[in-house]
Amino acid sequence: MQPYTGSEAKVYSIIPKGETETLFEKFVDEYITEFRSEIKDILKTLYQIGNTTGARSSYFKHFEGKPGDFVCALYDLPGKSIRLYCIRFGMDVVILGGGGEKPDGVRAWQDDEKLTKEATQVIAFAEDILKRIDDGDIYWSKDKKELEGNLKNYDNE
Amino acid sequence: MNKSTKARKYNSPKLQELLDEVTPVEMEQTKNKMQLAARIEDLMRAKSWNKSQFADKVGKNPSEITKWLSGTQNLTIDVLTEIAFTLEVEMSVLFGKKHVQSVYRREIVVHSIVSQPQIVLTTPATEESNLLSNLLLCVNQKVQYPITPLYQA
Repeated sequence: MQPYTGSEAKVYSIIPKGETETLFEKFVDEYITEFRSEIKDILKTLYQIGNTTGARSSYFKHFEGKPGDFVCALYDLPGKSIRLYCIRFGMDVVILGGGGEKPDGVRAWQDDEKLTKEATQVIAFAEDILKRIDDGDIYWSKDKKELEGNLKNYDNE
Repeated sequence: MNKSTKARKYNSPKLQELLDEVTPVEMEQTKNKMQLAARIEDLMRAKSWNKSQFADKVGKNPSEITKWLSGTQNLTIDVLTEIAFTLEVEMSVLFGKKHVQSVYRREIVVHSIVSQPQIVLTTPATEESNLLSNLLLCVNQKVQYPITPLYQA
């Protein structure tokens, strides 16, 4: 995704089958009216990850998915209202999913219906991507910094 | 069948429009916060400390360290001072400025690297003292200049 992809990290998102927008654009559309400032904070952070800092582990909340599936959420402070899920492969690659509103008192995505739907969807995409990497359908570039191969036609697109 | 392709470059006019609303100052603020967090984490790792160990040293909860390293925090001078003190660095190091070491000395000894001057004294030749004619005195002086452009610290 431009202009978030830069010299420090590649930023991707996913267009589900039959749709024209990425999961990330749908997330932005859904929350831009109510949480414009927070959306802009997310955009600024993603821009810096891609162009300045790389996808450092400390910029994300981990263990959002199943162990080993690389699903995490962009770090958000307790006072913030929305959460964005992603798949992070080291410092170099972030795949943006969707997200949702984080109601007061909700600590885990399993406690909220919307967050459960969004997190489950990202977990499913992560499983599919990892399987395709294992199968060699998707593979790492020579410099190990970006994904190449068949980047279309996922089973659950 | 594999298709050897890279991901296509995807531009979203909507996202671009939103990003265009961000002022250069706002973008710089985000950049500085994230780089500061990265620098603190690097210094913490350089001491072989994990978050819990760093938290112990600085007297905070590990969750506070997680916030510091998230790149989202607007850290105060007081907190930065605590962090720098714990990490045993000057605060400027947290901002990525090259650390300049100042050396203070009461006395600086300067050794000349030019060849020592030779002072040649000759005496007038006399009949009685032929042996003394053409007397050559080499005086090997230690040169102590207060300032010289040619020195070795």
